[in-house]
Amino acid sequence: MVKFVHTADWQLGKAARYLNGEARTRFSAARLDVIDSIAELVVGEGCDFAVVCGDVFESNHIDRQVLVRALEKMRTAPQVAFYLLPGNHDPLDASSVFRSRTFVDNRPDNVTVLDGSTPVQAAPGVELIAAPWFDKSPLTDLVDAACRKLEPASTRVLRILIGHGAVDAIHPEANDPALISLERLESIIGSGVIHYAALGDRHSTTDVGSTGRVWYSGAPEPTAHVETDPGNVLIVDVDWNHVHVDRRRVGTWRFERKAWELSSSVDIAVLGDWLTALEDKDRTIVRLELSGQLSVAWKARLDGLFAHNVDLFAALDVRGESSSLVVIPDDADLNDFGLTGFAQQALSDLSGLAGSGGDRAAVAQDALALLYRFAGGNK
Amino acid sequence: MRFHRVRLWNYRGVDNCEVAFFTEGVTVIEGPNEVGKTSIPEGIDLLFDLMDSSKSRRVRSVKPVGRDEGPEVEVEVSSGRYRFLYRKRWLRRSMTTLKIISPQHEQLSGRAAHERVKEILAETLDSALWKALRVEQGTELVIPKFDVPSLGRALDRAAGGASSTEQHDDLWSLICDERERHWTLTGRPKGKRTAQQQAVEQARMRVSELAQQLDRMEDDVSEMNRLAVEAQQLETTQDRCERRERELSGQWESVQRLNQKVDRLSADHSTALEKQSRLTAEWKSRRDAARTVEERQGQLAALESEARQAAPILAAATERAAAVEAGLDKARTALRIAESEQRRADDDRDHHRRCIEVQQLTERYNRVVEAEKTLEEAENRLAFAKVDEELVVKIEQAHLAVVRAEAAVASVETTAKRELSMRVDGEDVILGEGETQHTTVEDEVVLTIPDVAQLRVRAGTGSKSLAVERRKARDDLRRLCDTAAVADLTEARAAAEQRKEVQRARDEALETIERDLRDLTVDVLRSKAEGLSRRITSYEAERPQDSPLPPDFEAAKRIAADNNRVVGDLQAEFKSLERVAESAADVLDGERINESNLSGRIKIAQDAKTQAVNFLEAARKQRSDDEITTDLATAERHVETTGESLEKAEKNLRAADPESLASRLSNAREAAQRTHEDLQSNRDRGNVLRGRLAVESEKGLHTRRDEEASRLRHLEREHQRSEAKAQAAALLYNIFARCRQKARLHYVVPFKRKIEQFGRIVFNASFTVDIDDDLRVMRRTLDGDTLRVDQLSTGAQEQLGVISRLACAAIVSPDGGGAPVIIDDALGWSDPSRLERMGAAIAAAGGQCQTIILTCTPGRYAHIGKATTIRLPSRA
Repeated sequence: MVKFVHTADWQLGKAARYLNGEARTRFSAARLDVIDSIAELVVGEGCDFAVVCGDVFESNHIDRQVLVRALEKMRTAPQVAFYLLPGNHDPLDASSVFRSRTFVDNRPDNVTVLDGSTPVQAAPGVELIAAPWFDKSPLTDLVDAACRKLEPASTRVLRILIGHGAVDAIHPEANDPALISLERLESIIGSGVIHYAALGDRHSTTDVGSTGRVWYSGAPEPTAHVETDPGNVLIVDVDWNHVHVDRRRVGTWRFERKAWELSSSVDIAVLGDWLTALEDKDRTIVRLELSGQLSVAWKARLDGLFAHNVDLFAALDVRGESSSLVVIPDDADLNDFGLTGFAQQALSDLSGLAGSGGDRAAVAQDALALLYRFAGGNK
Repeated sequence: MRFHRVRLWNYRGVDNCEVAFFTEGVTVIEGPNEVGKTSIPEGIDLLFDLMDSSKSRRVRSVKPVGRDEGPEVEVEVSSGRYRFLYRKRWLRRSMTTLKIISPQHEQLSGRAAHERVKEILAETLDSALWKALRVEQGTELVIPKFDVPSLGRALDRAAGGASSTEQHDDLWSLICDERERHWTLTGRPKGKRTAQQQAVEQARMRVSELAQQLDRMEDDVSEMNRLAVEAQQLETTQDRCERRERELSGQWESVQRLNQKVDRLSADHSTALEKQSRLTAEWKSRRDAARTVEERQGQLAALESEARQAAPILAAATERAAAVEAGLDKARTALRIAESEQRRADDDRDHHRRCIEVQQLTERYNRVVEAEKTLEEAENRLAFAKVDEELVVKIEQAHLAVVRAEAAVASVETTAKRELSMRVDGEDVILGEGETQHTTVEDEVVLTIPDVAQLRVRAGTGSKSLAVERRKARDDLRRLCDTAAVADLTEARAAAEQRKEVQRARDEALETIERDLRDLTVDVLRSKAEGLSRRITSYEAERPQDSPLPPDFEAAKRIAADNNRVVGDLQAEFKSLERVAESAADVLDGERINESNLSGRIKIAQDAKTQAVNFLEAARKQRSDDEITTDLATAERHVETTGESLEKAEKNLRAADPESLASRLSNAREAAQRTHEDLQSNRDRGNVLRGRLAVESEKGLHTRRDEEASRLRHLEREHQRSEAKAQAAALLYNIFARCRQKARLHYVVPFKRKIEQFGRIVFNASFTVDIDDDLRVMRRTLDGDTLRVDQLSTGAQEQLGVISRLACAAIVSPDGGGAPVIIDDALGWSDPSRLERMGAAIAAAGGQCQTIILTCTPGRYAHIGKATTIRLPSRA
């Protein structure tokens, strides 16, 4: 029986381009801070060690500051043994960060780089079988290659496979030679060569296959809107006959993506309520995909809503304004403007242009909003 | 705005002056110069513009001279819904008071009062209109443009606009301001936008540069991977090459041993061959020496036989040569005799020829001598014979002239019947019987026959000249005859004939001399003849007497010819014999040479034979022929033995194919070397890349790239937002400007109509104007003539300026807005008729707006029907 923390895809040094400077700094800091959370889990749950299944770093060419800070984080938890696997982001190639002077000089004793497939004894009777990446485009199933020459383990040894990459059963790119064959992996597990496959690469926590012994831990902090269940690490409790995997949330950031069709003030109010209800706004990255049709007045209100929330959230990314969301003045707008004479004519011309579609329409909608503001329509 | 009254204290030269205005009509303020008329509008401006604390030049310039007082102005005004009393003093005890009378009573002072009035004016007064409606004294006379908000609103209303408000003006102002935030006046992006764009581009470039650096690192990594794979392959290849090289080197050493064996056997075989060759040569030499002895013996015998056969031939040739030589000597002797006789015959012939020549020369000499004598004589005679043919002709002509002259002169012919003695002109003449006496009568001739008669014969007219001609002819004839030394013509002719004869003799003598002398002289001719005579004499004395001298030249010539033929025949015979003798001598010489040659050859053959015999004998003394034969057979067997061994070794060597083996070994070594070099190159390159990657990977390029990309993303977003705002501002401005401009076209109509309404009062019913977009009068048409404003007279321009202001004020004022028209001393260029009409126009406008006219010319505005006139007292 062995108990350990299974994590992956820390991608330390990842820069969130969609964040402004202040949020980006916090976002990066949170990714480092998650090391502390993992160390606490290892200690708190009585785990023997922690394995990081690839993509520890965003790249081999990350800023050295990130590297030394990450190592320092691990150094401050000396009772926790960290086993780091090079993945596709940080392969063990000629420029590998794991071979860099900074890493070599600063690596604490409790940190081990899994740089080959030779079994590593992580605890008494526990061997780690690693399948590190040596370049970004391997031409074979590295997991299968790492296990191919292994004989079934003795009854006193538990073997944990540490791998990285996509599993063919859940990956759409079937022709990728580096895909991990689930069938072979389960066969290897079935034959007792290994007893648990700790995988990385997929940022969403996923139980793969039917054995219950093949898992993606997911990224401890989310990195994109497309991820379905990020922010977790796994507490794995495994022996020859049983396996128990427990997911624990350690992520502090959140990606929220939502599509909205707006056609009335009610819709805007609902959207406002939804935004208000979101917690931890300063660590939440929101993407809104808008469509529909609004009057100038309601568009102005929507702009006001965004102007308020953009400062609350870590990021508020609104898409579709210029194409899917059409702004057309209605009668109420015209009354609000209170224009007469040539100004009224100008308003009419602008309204026509705003409803005509195309790039000019978008400019006309902006011009209407401007006119609305000048005319005191949003007082 | 309406002014109710204004009051000035201590303002320039004005101590205290108050004027009340007619608020719904025309107020004419009259007064002399410097009474303070212009100070009224100026004071109002100061009051509205400057705070009481101002010490500006404008304020200081209106301070009264010589008094320590501050200028002070008070005005009561209605503007919009406000009516207030506003007072301000500057420089001394400055103060401001404001009393708002309506709509709500307010009392303010100081800065608050000033600010409140500014608020009221900003709310109710169109400042541009306020300035436009004033015609100030001394300023350049221009037609103002009335592009002012209040007029626009009023015109909008006049044109049927629904409800034009000041909000539109504010809105337009905001739109213009918004556009100016993003665009320059010329429609270019403002610097901030350009800077944004540049920041985006720079960020993009930085991202690109970092991306390129990362790409280069990735390329290096890829190359490192490739080098690693290549290094493995090269190491494998190197091992293989080295193994192959060792294998081939072993084979090569075996071949080298074989090669050495072949070399050794080859040397043995060469030695055997050399010995065999030497013995063979010796054997051949011995055989050749024996053959030489035999050959030379045979040659000697043959030569001796040939010599024996040649001896009789030589003897026969000798005999024939001697015989031929004897015949030749005989022929030579005969020829010499004949030639001697021929020479003597030739000499004889020449002798006779010389005799003839002497004779001929002597004859020629004699003829020459004789001819020279004749010539000398003729020359002498010719020297005195002067009558030639020419002179004879002249004498004949003179004679003929005398005859003719005498024939013409009168004459008396007296024929004596008997002897008669008479006297002619006193000269006694005796005539025989029958003799006739001719007497020429030149003038008068007196013939006296003594005692018989005296005849006086007188010539007629012309006789004297005829007589003169006759005398002249006679004189000429006489002179010619004297020249020829003859008496008359007959003698002259005879003398001429004699001269011809002498000339003929001279010519013949000359001809003879020339013919006989030819190119010689007389002396030479004589000398030649004498020389020949001496040779003749000498030859005759010396000639042998064995044969007689031929009698004459012909005989001598015949004998010479005969001897010549004999000599020719003998010479031909001699030459024939010479050829035969030469042939015989040649044959003899050939035989003799052959005989000598044979003798030499026999000698040589004898020596050679002796030498060969001696050589052979000496060689045999050293080694016998049998010994040589035995050694040679032994050597040949040894050669055969060593050849077989060598052939066998060479066969073994060929079987090892040393050339191919050498090539393969060389190739294997080169391949190993090349692989080694490639591997070294691979490692060197790997080290370079490893070093570079070690340095580059410490730079955190990925993080920096992501940071820059993030910055770029935000800059782009910001730029996009700015651009969207700029485009929106531009679109809003353009559409508003277009609509506003379009609306202005409607505004022009009521404004134009109002100007024309007042203008027709001043000019006539045909008066029309053209208004531009800035609501400025551009052209005036009167009685069908259209002129630009600047083409009008100063007076007409001034009138039009006042009319346009009145029209503007009349439009904007009815609702209590607008501003008063203030005309300061205008219309000075108008004639009385126009002044009267302008008065009517001002009066018509005065009913619709407040008009204040300041003038120093009383009566100029007397034609304004409804006006309040205020006369300011003079300071005096």
